Amino acid sequence: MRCVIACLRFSWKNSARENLSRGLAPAEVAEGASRGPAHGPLKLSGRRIALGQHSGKSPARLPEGADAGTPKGQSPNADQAIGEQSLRPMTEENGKPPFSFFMSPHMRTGRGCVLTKLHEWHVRSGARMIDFNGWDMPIQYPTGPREEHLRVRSAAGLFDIDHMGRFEISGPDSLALLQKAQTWDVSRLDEGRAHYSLLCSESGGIIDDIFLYHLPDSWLIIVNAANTTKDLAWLESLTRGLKVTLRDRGSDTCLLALQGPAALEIIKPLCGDMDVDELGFHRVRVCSIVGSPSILCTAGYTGEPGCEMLVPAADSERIWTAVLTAGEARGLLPCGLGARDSLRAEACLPLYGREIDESTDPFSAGLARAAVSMDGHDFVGKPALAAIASRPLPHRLVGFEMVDAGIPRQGYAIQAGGMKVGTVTTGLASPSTGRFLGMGYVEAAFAGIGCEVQIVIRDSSKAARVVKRPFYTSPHWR
Amino acid sequence: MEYRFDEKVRYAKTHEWVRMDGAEAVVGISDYAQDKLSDVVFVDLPAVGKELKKETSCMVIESVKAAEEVFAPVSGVVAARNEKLVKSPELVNKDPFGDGWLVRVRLSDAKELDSLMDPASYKKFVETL
Repeated sequence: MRCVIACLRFSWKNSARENLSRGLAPAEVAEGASRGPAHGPLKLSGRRIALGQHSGKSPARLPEGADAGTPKGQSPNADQAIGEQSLRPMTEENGKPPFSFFMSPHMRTGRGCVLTKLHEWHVRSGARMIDFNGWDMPIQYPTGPREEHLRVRSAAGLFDIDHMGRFEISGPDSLALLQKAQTWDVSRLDEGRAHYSLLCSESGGIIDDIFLYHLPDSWLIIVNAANTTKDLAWLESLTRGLKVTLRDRGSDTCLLALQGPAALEIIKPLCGDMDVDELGFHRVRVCSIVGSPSILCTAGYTGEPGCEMLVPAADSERIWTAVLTAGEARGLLPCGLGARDSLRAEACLPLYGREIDESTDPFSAGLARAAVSMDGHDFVGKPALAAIASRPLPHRLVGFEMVDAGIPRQGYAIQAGGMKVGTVTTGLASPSTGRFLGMGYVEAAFAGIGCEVQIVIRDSSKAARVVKRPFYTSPHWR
Repeated sequence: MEYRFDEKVRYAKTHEWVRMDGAEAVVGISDYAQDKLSDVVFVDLPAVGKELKKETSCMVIESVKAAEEVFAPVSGVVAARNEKLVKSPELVNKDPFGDGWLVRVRLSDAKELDSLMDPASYKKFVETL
């Protein structure tokens, strides 16, 4: 056998090792971004496997005292502990890490992949690990991605999403910075609420999709792993004249996602006296989880109810295993990135590097209503977006269903009447629906529900039909 | 990881197996191969009557994460295909040496079988991977 397509692919531009400079002071990151070595997508030996990238949807600042969880040998403020040397990634060529292992904000594998705080647990538990944008991540556990996927739909799944970036914004001008940097009018977002949003460039391209948590006295931004450095530099570039503090919380915290209809029932007894039932969706609370100061946000990336939890780094494995134990009787499984990708695809949630990137805009991607406040604040990119919105869109992101059997993969051509009219961004054999489904950009004339198109799979043209998104809507929303 | 090795088949280096059944050869992929593939979600089987040439791509198996070409371990003509895989591609994972077989082939050169590995050699080969 020989691999011809790795569907979970590095779809990133120069992204693979961006995270290596995570933990730097913002100014150093900005400088390092231009000075650091230019990395293309990582090539794995042999078969390449990678998920696109996630798009997380979660939380904010840990209460005081959480810093006790800082990894060994690291000062509470990682920003000061890491110098310029961390811009030099460890490579196979030079064969040695550029700095002491314990000085690093994140542990690494021999090949230079960053480890999450739960790495040892994954390996012990038989997870299959892959290099995901420079992070050594579990793609699946022995149960397999299909069963993990179905379990999230029927019961619950626990995901390690520690690779996702998170920054805390505090100071009197926090709101001013946010209103400049991102597309959702957060002056209307009360403390205790969370919202999906975008960072857009001057030209209206999507720099990243993010999740914002409004915490007491601060904000937290959750970003895509591969964009962490880029986003931090972008935010930093907008802080001139503003009294704000930007802090990377990737080192001293760990991020977990508990998803599925049983998720909140499972977490409830572990959250002390917090009333999980009254929370509702997209709410964020500073709370105690299994006795540790944490942040819980009712959000996710699977199309199911659930929550994401920011916990102290030092307590991450204790909390992870406590949640698994608490959920065992309800069928909770640890789930890898494979299931995370198929779950988000069924729910038609975009993945940065697939459905969105700097060459796409929120209108063509169908994200404007969810993430952009055109009638509110002035943010970077707003004039460009207004111009885009004032004209007919040449292309649109659509969902399609295969009429002929076959799996559409990223990059396959979409045709109509023998002419290329678009490109596939994501495709899958959908475990919940039993159908072959995909998303892609097509010329606007072919974007209508019911439009008949063809997907070119290995030189043969397979019939497909544009269908409504999302492909799957959970019956478990209250 | 403990893999299963069927003692009654012969193996190609590319992880396909062949079992003679009367005049026809049954072809599938090994337990090692299905494990590496992870959950199989689609098997693009060749048409009956298609000519296969040893060591060239003859079909594609798609898993959650990748599309993998299957190389014909022997030359010949496709006599039958495992139609059960259309509805249940997961049989390749569950029973790679049994219900998860792929095609039956009428051999054009029975001597090609001699170039394949016996179970002991294949097992040793897998241990080196």
